[in-house]
Amino acid sequence: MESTILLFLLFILVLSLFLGFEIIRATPSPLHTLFVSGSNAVSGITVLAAILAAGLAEGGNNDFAALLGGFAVAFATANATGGWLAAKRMLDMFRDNKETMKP
Amino acid sequence: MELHILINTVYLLSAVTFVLGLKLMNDPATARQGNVISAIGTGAAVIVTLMDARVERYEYILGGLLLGAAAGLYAVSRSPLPGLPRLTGLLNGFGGLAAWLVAWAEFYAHPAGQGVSGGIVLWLTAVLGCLAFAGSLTAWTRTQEGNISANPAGYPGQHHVARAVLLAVLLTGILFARDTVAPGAYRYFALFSLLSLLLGALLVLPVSSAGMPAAMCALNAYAGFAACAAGFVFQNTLLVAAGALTGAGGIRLMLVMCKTNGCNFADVLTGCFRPPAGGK
Repeated sequence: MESTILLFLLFILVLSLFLGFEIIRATPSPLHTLFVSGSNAVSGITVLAAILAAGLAEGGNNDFAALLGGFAVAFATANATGGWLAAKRMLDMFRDNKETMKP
Repeated sequence: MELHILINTVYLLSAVTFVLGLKLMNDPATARQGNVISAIGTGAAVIVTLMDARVERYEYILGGLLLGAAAGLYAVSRSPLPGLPRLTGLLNGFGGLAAWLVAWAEFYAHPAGQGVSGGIVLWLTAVLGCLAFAGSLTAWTRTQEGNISANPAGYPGQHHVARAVLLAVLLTGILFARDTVAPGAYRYFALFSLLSLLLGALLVLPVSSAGMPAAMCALNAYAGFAACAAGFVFQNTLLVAAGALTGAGGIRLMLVMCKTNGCNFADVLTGCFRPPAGGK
């Protein structure tokens, strides 16, 4: 990997680490929801790598690699869509509970 | 080149949606919007990645997208509500598995020309992915009804095993990255993959039931870091950014949870590297 690109990516990495750390406030109770939703965003992202891995042109080693990539796409997509729906369901429940608690 | 500009612009906007989404999810009132916003960001990123010049064949991608979406949505829609956190943990493991598969695929297709840095990021992606996968699988098993992790599965000598495995992962990684074209490189890849799976399980085995939610946050973080490493493999800015974002967020969340639940975060992260309480 070219060193300029590597350095740029490292720059992004370090800043994102700080950002990710700061964004999570120290709030206790809706934590669980947060956690579920947090995993959702992560999940989504690996699918990009999987797409790039599965999209290789035909020929030689690429065929098996693209097949592996296809499986990776499947797993990452299950992760993303499932995580999103789980977060949605839990947040819906939370909202319903709040409404039934209104006087 | 115009396509390149379009892709990276969308990536930038996607990154913004992730940050905003996470912020909104801090507050239960806005959490739902947060969920939607990050989903949109993910969707846009996926669409635009399909247009990447490196993507030349679509059958596997489309098959994977359809199968994965169907399986994920079906499993989650059918799950009883209380089982959702556990299921999400398992799905997170799938993300880790995906990262490992990606590392394998990339190594298989392009063993040459990686250089040491290429070898290192492949190793990182594979190791972190396996850690996340095996750890999530172990957590999923241990949190079954009737099998609640009331008894941390620590065992005598666990710290010896865990340290040895960690050392082996590092060593095989070095040997791998030194020369990814060597005929033996494939064996190193297999070795550190298997060892990382083992290590992932070992990390989660000694965690108490109080520490489980925190451990799952840590596993989320590992999956995030795996995605980040994959970003280095493909020189993809969004993967690096979003992976690091959620990785660091997961660690922070783990620390907060430990404070709330009263578990020791050091135990959650590295408990297997120490002798079990009262043991040798």
